[in-house]
Amino acid sequence: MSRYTNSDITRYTPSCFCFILDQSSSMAEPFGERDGEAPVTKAEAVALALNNLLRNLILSCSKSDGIRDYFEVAVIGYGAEVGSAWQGALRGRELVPISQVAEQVLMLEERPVSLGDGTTETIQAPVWITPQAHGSTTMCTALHLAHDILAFWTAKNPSSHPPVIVHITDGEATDGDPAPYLEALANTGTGNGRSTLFNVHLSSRRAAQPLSFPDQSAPLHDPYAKLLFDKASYLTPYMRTVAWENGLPLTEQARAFVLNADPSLLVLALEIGTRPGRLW
Amino acid sequence: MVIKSFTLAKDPATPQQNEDALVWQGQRLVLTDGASSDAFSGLWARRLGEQFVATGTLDQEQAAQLWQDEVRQNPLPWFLADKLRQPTHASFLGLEWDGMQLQVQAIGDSCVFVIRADSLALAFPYDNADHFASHPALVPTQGRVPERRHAHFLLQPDDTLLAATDALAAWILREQAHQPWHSLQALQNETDFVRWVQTLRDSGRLALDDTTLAIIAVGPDTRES
Repeated sequence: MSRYTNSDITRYTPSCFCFILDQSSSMAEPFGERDGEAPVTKAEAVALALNNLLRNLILSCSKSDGIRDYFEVAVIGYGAEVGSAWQGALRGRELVPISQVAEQVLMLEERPVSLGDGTTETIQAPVWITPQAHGSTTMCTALHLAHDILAFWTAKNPSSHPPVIVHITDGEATDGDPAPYLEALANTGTGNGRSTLFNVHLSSRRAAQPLSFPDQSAPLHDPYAKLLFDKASYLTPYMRTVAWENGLPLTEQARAFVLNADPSLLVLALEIGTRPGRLW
Repeated sequence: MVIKSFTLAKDPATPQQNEDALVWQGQRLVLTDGASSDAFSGLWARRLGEQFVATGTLDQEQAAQLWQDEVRQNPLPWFLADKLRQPTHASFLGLEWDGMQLQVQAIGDSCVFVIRADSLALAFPYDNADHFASHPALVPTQGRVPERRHAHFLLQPDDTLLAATDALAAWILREQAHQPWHSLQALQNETDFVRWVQTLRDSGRLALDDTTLAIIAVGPDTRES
C-alpha cells in the first residue's frame, strides 16, 4: 500500500499553522524557574519557542534547491494592538508561505546549541518575533481575526490537511466572552477534517500545578480554565504518537490543552502540535 | 552484460529533485538513494556511486570530500548552512561481477534480485516486503558507516538481474508470487516506465517515492561482454 493518503501534506496541498499570541502587559511577568539563569519573561519564552519552532519547520521543508512550500504560517498578536505579529519585511502579512518566512528573517543572532555529545556549538539562529508585552487582553478580537484568515485559507485549500491553531495566553479576555470565537475557530476545517485548536495557558506562579493534555475537565474548578479545556480540540492520533515519543502516553480523549505551562511544557505542546509528519 | 535503466522522480514535474543515482562502468554498478529529508542528498548519492565504480571500494571519506567541495562552492542561505550541521545520508547497493561471480555489498534498502527460470533466485539485502522500515541503515557523509551486508552469487547464462530502489523493491517482493519481473522485462523505453509507474502509484500499489530500476541481462560469457 502507498503511504500517501489524501490528507498528506504536499507542495500542491500545503497545510497551515496559525499562532495566536497573547502580547498583553502581563506577558512581561517572569516565567517558570530557571536555576542559576537570568529570569525570563513569558513574552521572551514565547518568542524563543516560536522562533525555534519556525526554524525547525523550515529545516524540515528545506531541500538542496530551496524551501518547499508545505506550509503557510500566520502569527497573530493581541495586546495594545490586534493584528499580524510578523515584524520586519513581513510586517502586516497574514498567511505567509514557509519559503518566504525563511527568506525574510528579522535578524540572525548567534546562539549556542548543545550537541548530543555534551559539547556546544554556536549557530546563526533566525529571529522573526521579538518579545512584546503591552496593553490589555484583547483576545476576542484576535480570535475573530484568526477565524477570518482561516476561513479564507480553508475555502482556498479544501483538499489540504486541516490547519493547526495554537493559542498561547496567560490571562482572561478583557474584550468579551471568547467562547463563541474559540468554538468558531475549532470548527474551521477542510474536506480532510476539522482544524486542531490548541489552548496553551501559561503560568506565572511557581506553585501552580501544570496540567497537560487532560482527557476530562473534572480537576478544573476555575471556569476560565474549563472554558479553554472545553473549546480545545481532541489531539489527532499522530499528535498522540508524538506525545508518546516524548514520554507522555495519552488516551484517545486527550485534549489539545495545557494549563499552567512552564517553559518546557510550552515547548512540548508546540512540538506535539506542529511536528511535521511525512512531507511529500 | 546488457543494461537497461529507468528512473522517475517522486514528482515527475521536477526530475532535478530525483535523489536516486544509478552509476555503472565496466564490471561495476551502483544504485544509491539519497534521504529526502537531508540537504544535498541527491548529490551525495551520485558522488558515492561514482566513487565506488571508479575504485571498487566504498570510501566514505573520499566521497564526502568531493561532496563537501561542491556543496561549499557557493555561499549558502542560513537554513542550508543550519541543516548541513547534520550529516546527509544515502542508501548504497554496489554490484561487481567477474565472469559469472557476482559480488554485492549493501547498506540500506536498495535491492538486487536475480531472476532465473522465471523465479526469484536471489533477493538481497531484503527478501521480504515487511523488512522495509522507515529508518533503514544509510551511509552518512560523516560519522560511523553502518555495517555492510555482503553476498556472493554464482550467475548462470540467461539470468536477469534487477536492481531497484526501495519503493519498487518492496513492490517486487510483495508481488513475487505473480512473477512481477514479467512486466519489468517488457519495458522498452522511458515512456513505458513512466506510464507503468504512474499506473501503480495511482492505484496505491507503489509508494510515492523516487523510483529507479536497472535491468541487467547476463550473457553467455560475461568476461567478453
